[in-house]
Amino acid sequence: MAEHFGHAVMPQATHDEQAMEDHFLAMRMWTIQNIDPLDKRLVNELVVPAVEAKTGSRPKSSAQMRDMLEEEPFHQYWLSLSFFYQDQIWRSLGASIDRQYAELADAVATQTKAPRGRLVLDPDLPIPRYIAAFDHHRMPGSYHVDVTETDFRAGALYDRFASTYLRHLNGGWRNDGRGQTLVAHLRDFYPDFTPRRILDLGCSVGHSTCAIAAAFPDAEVHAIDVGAPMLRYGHARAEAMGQTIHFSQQNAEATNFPDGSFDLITSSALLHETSARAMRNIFAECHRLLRPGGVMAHVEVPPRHEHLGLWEQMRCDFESHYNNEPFMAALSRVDYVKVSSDAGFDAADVVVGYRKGVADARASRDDFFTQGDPEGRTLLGSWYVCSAVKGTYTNLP
Amino acid sequence: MTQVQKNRERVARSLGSQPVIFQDATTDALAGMVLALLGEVVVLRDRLDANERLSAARGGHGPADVDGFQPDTAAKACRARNRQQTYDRVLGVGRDKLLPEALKQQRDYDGVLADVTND
Repeated sequence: MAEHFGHAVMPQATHDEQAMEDHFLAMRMWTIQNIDPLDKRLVNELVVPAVEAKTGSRPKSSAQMRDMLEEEPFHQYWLSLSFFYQDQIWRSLGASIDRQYAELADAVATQTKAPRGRLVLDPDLPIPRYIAAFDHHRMPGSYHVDVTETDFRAGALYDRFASTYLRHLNGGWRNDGRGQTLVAHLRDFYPDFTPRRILDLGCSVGHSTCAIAAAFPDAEVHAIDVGAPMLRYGHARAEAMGQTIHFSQQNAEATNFPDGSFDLITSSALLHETSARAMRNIFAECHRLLRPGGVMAHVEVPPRHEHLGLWEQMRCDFESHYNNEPFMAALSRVDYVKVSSDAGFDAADVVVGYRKGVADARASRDDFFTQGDPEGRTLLGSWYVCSAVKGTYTNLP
Repeated sequence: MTQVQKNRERVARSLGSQPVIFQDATTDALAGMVLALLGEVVVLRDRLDANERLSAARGGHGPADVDGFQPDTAAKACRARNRQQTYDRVLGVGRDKLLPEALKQQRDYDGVLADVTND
């Protein structure tokens, strides 16, 4: 009998399903190791000189070489390997979820029979356009489409996907590396900070929320998302993992919590799936919801555009152009300090930089840096972090 | 109790960008089918590997036995089902990429038609 993988509501894999997951991961690794370097050479040795010959100057950004690059059959091959991979993973994982839907439904019901944490859904909540108009990272149905009246399919699909896509790079089946990194950042920059009320924004299935909740076991933890099936699954998942988290279906741009409700507000890989305007609203909402001396902390994916070489910029652009993550490339150019100060935070109280991803939340300043890799690479295993204190930073009594 | 399912067509493919990467959609379809097929072959190889190792560990059949194997009626029926699912995963890539928009809408309407007449 195969060993149970992960928590009690985690989808399980048959032999063949696991083999297909292993194939996807291995094929992606092969692509990264064998094709990426050649595609990068194509950019630097052939396309850049060609653009210079044609226009009289070297391309300063990936946008200036995109047309020429995408005419190259080898680059088209790189694109196809990266692009088709994504669609096929969802197809394969979706079939696995559908195969075991009844068992998962039973597990979800069992875990939420007498829950410690609340789940409050709002079927009338409008799904924002940056979620409803397309399916993020090409996940069919995205975060919000229900396939039954009490559906959790999107959450199960996302959880299993994360354990495949990121495998050991983000904390194994807990997939909580971002949450651990966020906690490490808090312990590094706000060492005596002990929040009593925490809000995690865009929690999806609670990957990072659970890490944050575990780091502050005496705190009351709330988590919001716009996707009902994500919340139903996340609620069951948190219960299965022994956490007490209160989930509610809300939009981080405008919540129903009163002013000054929270000591700590967090998000992990939320912002890049919103929009420029939504991000401004979310930061303003953070400022409203924090009590004076409270802290907001956001962990994000894309490195700063100015720190990336041309090929790496193109790789980031891929997420926007092909992977249904339209705000990803733009976010790499956003001035987080300005958005924070426009939202009411003092620029002097804002911290931005890269944080080395950690599996357990050790607080070391050596893990924090503000400059990118000198070769313009994405620093593998690092996240971009933005944190800010509202008003004067004070410890809680 | 099994719940009634809805939105199955909606979760069958992702909403949003459907770019053409190679010189045309047909080439994209071919590339996609090849990559899907690659996955099928790799999984099959893993399954065979498991099979042979389990069998060998128990002092069971080897390659020569497989070479001479003749499937019975039940085995043939099982293989036929598996083939259909494989074709859906592999050839379905081409179908989904090349089906004209007008027919996609017809498929969606067929679903609506089925719903209201069988309600």
